[in-house]
Order: sequence, then structure tokens, then C-alpha cells
Amino acid sequence: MQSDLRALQKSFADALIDLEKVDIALAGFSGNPDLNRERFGYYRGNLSATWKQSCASAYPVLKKLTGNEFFDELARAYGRACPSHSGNLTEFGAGMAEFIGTLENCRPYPYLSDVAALEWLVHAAYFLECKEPATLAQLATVPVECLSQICFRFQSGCALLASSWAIADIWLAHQKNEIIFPDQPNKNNKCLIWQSGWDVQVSTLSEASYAALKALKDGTTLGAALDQAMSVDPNFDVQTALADWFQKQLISSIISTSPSP
Amino acid sequence: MSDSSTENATPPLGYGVGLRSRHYRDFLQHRQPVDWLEVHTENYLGAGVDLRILETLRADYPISLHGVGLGIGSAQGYDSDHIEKIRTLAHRIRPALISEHLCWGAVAGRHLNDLLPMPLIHSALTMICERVDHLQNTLRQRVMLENVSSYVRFACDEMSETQFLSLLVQRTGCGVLLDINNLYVNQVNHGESAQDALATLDQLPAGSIGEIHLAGHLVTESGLVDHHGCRVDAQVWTLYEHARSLFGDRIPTLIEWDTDIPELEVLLGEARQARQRTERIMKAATCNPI
Repeated sequence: MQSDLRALQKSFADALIDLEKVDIALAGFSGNPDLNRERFGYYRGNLSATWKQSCASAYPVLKKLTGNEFFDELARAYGRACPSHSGNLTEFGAGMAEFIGTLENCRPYPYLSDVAALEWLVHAAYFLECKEPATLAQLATVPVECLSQICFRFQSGCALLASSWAIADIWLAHQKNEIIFPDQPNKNNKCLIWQSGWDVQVSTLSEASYAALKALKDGTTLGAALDQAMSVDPNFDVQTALADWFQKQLISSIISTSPSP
Repeated sequence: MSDSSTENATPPLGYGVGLRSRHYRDFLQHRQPVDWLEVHTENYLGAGVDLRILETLRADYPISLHGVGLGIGSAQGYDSDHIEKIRTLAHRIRPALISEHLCWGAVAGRHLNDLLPMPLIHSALTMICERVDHLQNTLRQRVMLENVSSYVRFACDEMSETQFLSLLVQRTGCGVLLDINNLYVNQVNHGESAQDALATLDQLPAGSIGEIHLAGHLVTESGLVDHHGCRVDAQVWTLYEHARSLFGDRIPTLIEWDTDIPELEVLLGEARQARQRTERIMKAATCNPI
């Protein structure tokens, strides 16, 4: 009779993942073997249900796009291929976008992988800290001659994503009761993900605004970031963009890089 | 009766419900008639919206942190990062109670994210005692371990789950989170007497049982499933009353509901029923002293 704790748990876990190993685990249980087989099925069912529920929680739009049956099978396949590495289930599913990219039956829907990437950023933002935001009034206190040298720190949940598919449009369409799939899914989308009150929001960005925000998030000074935006779009409206970023409370602090007088 | 009321000067927590996101709005909009709230620790290990809501609610309700992901009995080891996150959360929330499950949940390379049954053997007891010591020292607070519903038992078991828990309490000073529904599920599934389990726990020092859980279960052809998806069963209420007659009325009681979560009022109704049944039992005990 096996009584080594590590071996018993390994045998149990193997049987949860692989039906062919159930008999080995059953040999270690007391009581009625037939009942044990049925009841061990509860644990196998729990594992599958956990994968499905966790993925559904992180990927609600993906579930609507693929349908319940396909999505449940996707979650099961993901759970088997990409083991959970944490006791915290909110971390499960991080590799879904990459996993979808490997699946032959997802090839006809090439935007699914990028939709999953967007949904994971939304999911992750929900669990990240939202600090007291910096304000336009604070920006107004920066001397004009120093403005080009300041940098921004962003809220940890604020993220950017570029896709050659209309993933933000698809995501936004699926927040409504009546879903109208975008006419042009093969349209570039530059996406902004940010925490808004008790929720997380997604919007599309212009090419220029995306270029500026990306540069700022990478630590570039405001002056250099706006130069990049202008090179994309000479008509980039700096004031409107700044007002939008501060209104969305994307920025947590303004950093002066000028030497102190 | 191992009632701890005479030696415990703090008022009892009373009757609580598990806080689930579906009911956030109810709690944020109005003070609800419930004494305390319990949350699944893992849902608040991040720093986002859930934590902000919990920090808001802790001003009005004592909070219990109930872990479902640590897997203290996993032989491959348990996650020090996870414990550090629990410590950080406990520091922020200052919970009235902290609990984990007597279970395992991971092997090398894979978390199974379930409350899996422990082989009830001495080597496992030794390992879990060391981990409970470590956890209590890290958190600087007593931790309770909950008896779990089990659908299989190991042939190598050397003791009952209640004996295992009792030895754990004696060796570490930890508490027991007594889940009455789990006792009943195991009684039906494995023929393990719930009355005997309560009698064994009654031998522990006063105050060892720090919390009681009540929940619903599902009846299937092959046994009971602890699904937390319906009202508390009549047989479980009877066992609860027996536990109250043994252990007194000071131990905090919690209503758990995790599947097909209903309107908050349904949970509050179950909590009211726990209170009323306790009051009836305590009144009867006063009228008919042994």
C-alpha cells in the first residue's frame, strides 16, 4: 500500500489530467471501487469546470465570439496544455492569446488571438492598483520652459495594444446587448485599456495619439513624445490629447527631469 | 460543553455571509443586517477594484479571510509568494479571522486549484504542523483549518479527519473552522459519524473551534456533492443545533453560497435562521440544565 505523500498526490493529479491513469489512483483508495470511480469523476469534473469558469471570467468576448461549446473545449485544451501555476485563479489563462495562435481550428478567425490579448489586458487591469491620478491643474504648475522635459508615470492598469484587426471595435460591440460585428474586422486598431472608477474601459486611439502614449509609457519626455506624434500626424491636436489623457486619469504622476535651479 | 464564553471577553462576531461580487452593490449602497463578512482570500490578492471594495466595506463589517488556494498539504511545497501576498492583505484588512483548508492542491508543475483530500497519515500531519507554525508566525495571528468534503478516502489513512485536526490543534495552537455541511457530506459518502466527529472536537480545549460554516449540498446517485448552491439541508441544521448545544453560541457562524448565487436576501435569511435556531437551542439548554 502506497503511503508516500508525494507519490499519492502525484498519482491523484495524474489521474485528474489523464483518464488512462485513473485506475492507478483508484487502487490507493478505500471503500467501494465502483463508487470511488464515480466520485473521482467529481474531481475531474471540478478541474474542467474550474478551467472553463476561469477562462470565461477572463475572456467573455472570446466566449461570445466562439460560442459556448467551442469555448468550453478551448478552455479544456488550454488547461491541459498550459498548467495553472498559482493558487490564485485570476492568474490562470495568461497564455490564451499565444495558445490560440497554435490552434489549427482557429486559423479561419485570425483576430481571435488579438482579441484574447486585449481581454487579458482588461482582466489584468481589474486587479492592478489605481493610484491617485495626476491632474491637468498639476500640469499647469510646470513652468512652460520645462514642459518638454517632463515625463509621465502611468497607472499600472493603463495599457496599449496594437493589432492589425479591429479588436477594440469587436470588444466594444460585445459590451452591448445587441451585438453588431464590425463591418471591417481587418482594420488596424490601436487600443487603450484603462481603469475607470470600479471598471476597466477600452477605446481606440489615433495613430498619433498611440505613438505619443507609447513613447511616454516607454519613459520618453513629453517633448520627444509629441514630436513622434507630430511625425505621424502633423495636425495632431496636443491640447485635446492631453485633456483626454488626464480626463481618463491615465497618469499617476508628473516627473520633472529638468535639473533643479 | 466546551463553551469559551467565560474566558473570552470580546463580543462574539455573530452571524455572517460570504461576500461575493454579485452582492457588492447591495453592500456598497446600504448597511446590510449581517454581523460580519467572509471573503475568499485569493480574490483580493491583487490591488484592484475588489480590494478597494473590501477596504471600503471593512469600515462597516468585521472581515474574515478564507483561503482557497494555498493548498497547505501539497507535498511538493507551498508557495512562499502566495503566503507573502496573504500577509500583505492581512496587514491592510486586519481580518478578525483567517482560515485555510485541510487539503492539498498542487503537484510539481501544476496547480489543480481544488480542495483535494489529504491522505490522513502521520507524515502528512508532521508536514502540515510545520507549515501551520510557519503560517501563524508569518501572519502573527491564529489560523484556522477547515475540514473538507471528501469524495474518496485513502487506503493508507491512519486516523479520521477529525483526529487529524485535533492533533493539529494540540501541536500548533491553530483553530478549527468546523464546516457542518462537510461533516454531513462525509457521513453520507463514507459512513463517518458526524456525531462522533463533534464528540472528538468537544475534547479539545475551549475556544479551539473558531468558526462554523453552513452551506447547501447536491444529492446525486453516487453521493452528496458539496456544491454550495442551495439552502442548508434539514439534516445539516439538526447537526448544527447539536454542535451549538456542545460548543455554545459564541462561535461565529457563516453562510456560504458559491454556485447559482441568489439574491442577497436569501443568504441573509439563512443567517437569520442560524441565529434563531441557536437562540432556541440555548434557551432550551437554560430551561433544562443537565
